[in-house]
Amino acid sequence: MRLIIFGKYPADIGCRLPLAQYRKTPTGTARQQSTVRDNVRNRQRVVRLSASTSYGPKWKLVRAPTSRNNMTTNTSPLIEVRNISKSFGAVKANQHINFKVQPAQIHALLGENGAGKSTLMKIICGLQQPDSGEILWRGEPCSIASPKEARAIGIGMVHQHFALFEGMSVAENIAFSIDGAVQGPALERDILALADKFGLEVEPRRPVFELSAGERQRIEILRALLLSPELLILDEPTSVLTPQEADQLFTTVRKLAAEGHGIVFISHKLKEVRALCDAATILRGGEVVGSCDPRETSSEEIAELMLGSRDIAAVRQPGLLGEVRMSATDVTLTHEDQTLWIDDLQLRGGEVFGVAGVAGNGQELLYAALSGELLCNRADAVTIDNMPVGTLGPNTRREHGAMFVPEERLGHAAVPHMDLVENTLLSNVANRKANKRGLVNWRYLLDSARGVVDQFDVRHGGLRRAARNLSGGNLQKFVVGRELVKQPGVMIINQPTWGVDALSAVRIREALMELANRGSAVLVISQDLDELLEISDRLSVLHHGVLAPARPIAQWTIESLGLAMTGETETQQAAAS
Amino acid sequence: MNTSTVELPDWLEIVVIPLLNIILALFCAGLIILAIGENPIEAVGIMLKGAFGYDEAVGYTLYYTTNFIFTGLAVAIAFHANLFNIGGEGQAYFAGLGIALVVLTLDQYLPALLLIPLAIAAAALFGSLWAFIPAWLQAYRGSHIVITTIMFNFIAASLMVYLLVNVLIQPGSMSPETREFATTAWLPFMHEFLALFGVTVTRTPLNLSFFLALLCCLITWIYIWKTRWGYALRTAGQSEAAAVYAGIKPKRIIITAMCLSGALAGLVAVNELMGVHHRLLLNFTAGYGFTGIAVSLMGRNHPVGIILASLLFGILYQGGAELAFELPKITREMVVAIQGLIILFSGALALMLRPWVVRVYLLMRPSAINAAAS
Repeated sequence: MRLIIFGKYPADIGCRLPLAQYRKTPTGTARQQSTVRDNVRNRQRVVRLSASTSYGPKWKLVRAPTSRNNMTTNTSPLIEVRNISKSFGAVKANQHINFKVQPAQIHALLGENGAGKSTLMKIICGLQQPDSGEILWRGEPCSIASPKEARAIGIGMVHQHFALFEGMSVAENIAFSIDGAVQGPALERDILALADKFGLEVEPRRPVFELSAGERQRIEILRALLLSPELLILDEPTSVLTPQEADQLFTTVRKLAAEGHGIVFISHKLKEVRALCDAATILRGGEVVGSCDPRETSSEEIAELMLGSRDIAAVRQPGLLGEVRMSATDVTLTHEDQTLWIDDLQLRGGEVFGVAGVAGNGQELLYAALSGELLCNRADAVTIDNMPVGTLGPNTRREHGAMFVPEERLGHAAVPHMDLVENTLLSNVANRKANKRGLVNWRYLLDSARGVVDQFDVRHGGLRRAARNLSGGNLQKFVVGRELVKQPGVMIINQPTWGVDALSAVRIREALMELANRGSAVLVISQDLDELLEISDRLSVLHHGVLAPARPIAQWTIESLGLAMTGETETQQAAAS
Repeated sequence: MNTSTVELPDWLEIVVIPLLNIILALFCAGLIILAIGENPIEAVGIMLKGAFGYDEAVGYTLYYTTNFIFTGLAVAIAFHANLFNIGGEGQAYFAGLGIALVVLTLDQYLPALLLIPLAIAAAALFGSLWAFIPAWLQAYRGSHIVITTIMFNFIAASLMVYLLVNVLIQPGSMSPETREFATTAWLPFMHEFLALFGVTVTRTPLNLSFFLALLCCLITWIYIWKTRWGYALRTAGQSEAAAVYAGIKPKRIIITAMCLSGALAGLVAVNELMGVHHRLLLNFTAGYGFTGIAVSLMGRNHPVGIILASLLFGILYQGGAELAFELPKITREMVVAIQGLIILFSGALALMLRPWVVRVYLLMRPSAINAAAS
């Protein structure tokens, strides 16, 4: 199993140079320049690496993917699982799943969180054994006892969360995953050859901390490809990418498929699936509820299969913009090498204000500055209903009617080992109803927690169970609901639906819009552009700590947003093309 | 399967597992006693009789228990803030200085009703002062609390030797002790106190600070689980980011928790100096501060658990002394070894038996597996 080296949101905060310098260089000039620079800097490293260039016995490197596919004439699927069931106690994670991937097929696996996608993929990757059912590889029954065996027969997986060593170079990271079988210039040649073939632009000698999420993902894909898999599983590969990076990924995926690789593409985003995949299997509640050709099936139909017959379209009724409920002007805040600049941010009553941006561009700082977890040096830098609160902490801001939901639900919005009632107190420490003269009113908190749980349909095993036992979606509903029941005048929420199943996400978004409709100001920081476009009235972009001026939603397009998120202005782009 | 994620019912976690640990420790101790040629059953009998057999034994047992409650609570309250206070020994020692200063200065002028509370307050104040410095260093300078509190134990020991030999020593005396406190500073012994109600018991060191210890348990329990400050302490201990979200300042929590911890440890000096010795003397802390760590671990950092664990260690201290006296083959060091085994099994190896308990539990209650899987 792989080590998860860094947290959930790989960030390109270490990137001191504009990303544009490395991006999309069909002429190759920018890349050559930087390679020269890297050569100078990495000379020592190269010497050290090349000292031990040897092919280990264990791994056979194949520069081009195997041509076996082309030779085989039988049409048996690459992998087929038949009647797979897997239970954890009474929880039936997979029930009688039938699923097959043909060579050269891009097969989407769709489903809400908890639908059984991960379990199925873990079975295919050898991480878990099915209770019953069989797996056929190229038409022949086989058992996959371990991830090692899975790799040996040709199954590769690119995980959603990257496992890379920040301080090491791209090539070194790749060398690790093949147990150092090939190193130095030979490995670099292999990497570049493979990269070239599939349009995965990488520079083997750059240290990982300088790279954007998209570039990091390319390393992960290359890692998998170096072992020449015939089946490649991509687990939510676009969740951290800008639209442009995602487009690049799709090109790669199409090339891989054209080479005869089977691809399993796990995603929540129907639009991508419809653009990319030529088959789709939809899971719900551990069962296959349908399969279709996504190119010919409408998003609505697929969504209905995923969710059951439920309405997923939330309707935003733009209300009248009211008074300024919260403002942040002329804020410069530095924390742990990251800096945030806000020129002028005004949140008006009745609006949902979206903040887009790729992870690691200062979202945490923006949240901290507005919530009071980090303080400004001027009181009037931040105001709530015209009260200067810039130097006051979260609880004073709460008293003025602002509520906050941070990004990390476990360990920031909730204490993992405390139960739900105790966690209700977390944002109520200064609430006079929750404690009188320091004595905690547990009865009030119990009622309050029960109210949140009922109103927001939080499934829990008991209010006295620890927060860490809740599933991600339910805990998110809980921590959002905990703030919403207080009817805040200002709501600051960071990544409201990250990793949350579709239905919970819809509920959370609806609740946020309803809050705005009642005259509150809602600020949503999110990486999910579709979400922001759906619920925001105004939208701004955070890039390298700078909060761009906001524009009404109608003036944005996905393309212009994607450009803003990568720090390129539209005029530059126009000039370049 | 991963048994650490399985939730067990409270009675298993709190009662059964610690009990199994103690039984296992006693079993190993029994093997050792067997190996040196004594009868373990007989040894246990002597030990229990020595701890509970007659009223004098009970008095001694509870007197030791009092000290363990104070130091156990001290470790527990710091532990809830995720701080490991190993400095209970030094804090208690330094608190003794507080008592001595107040009592030696004022015992000629103040009545007992004023002097005793004042001296207790001084003990708590000096104890927390000795914990405040490591706490401040941890919060604002990043010095690790474990290292600094250990160092402060040594500093306290050296300081007290210097003060007792050179400054506070009773003029004309050879032993490094202060003069005896005036009786107004004495906490009544339990045998004196009970005599007021017509109950006659043998004279033992047990004194009214035992009630103070029980009161501290109650206050600690209320503080940690019923007040917003205790909640802030636990939150900061478990998740700093969540504490910041709640508007709690983790640095201040480090200071508060350590000061409270030091104050509780300091109350050992009340029992020892105002209750028993009636003077400040060298090494009156006798390792109670360190044993408090084991007590707290064993008592799961909960006041009720700490009372029970303190009682167990009281039995070991008192019954162990009796055992060394009765059976010549079992030396004082052997008794320490037995205590060590109990600390080993219920502290360091506290969770060793848990996987098996979980398996047995799951066999009995298959439905619990679902919860474990989800």
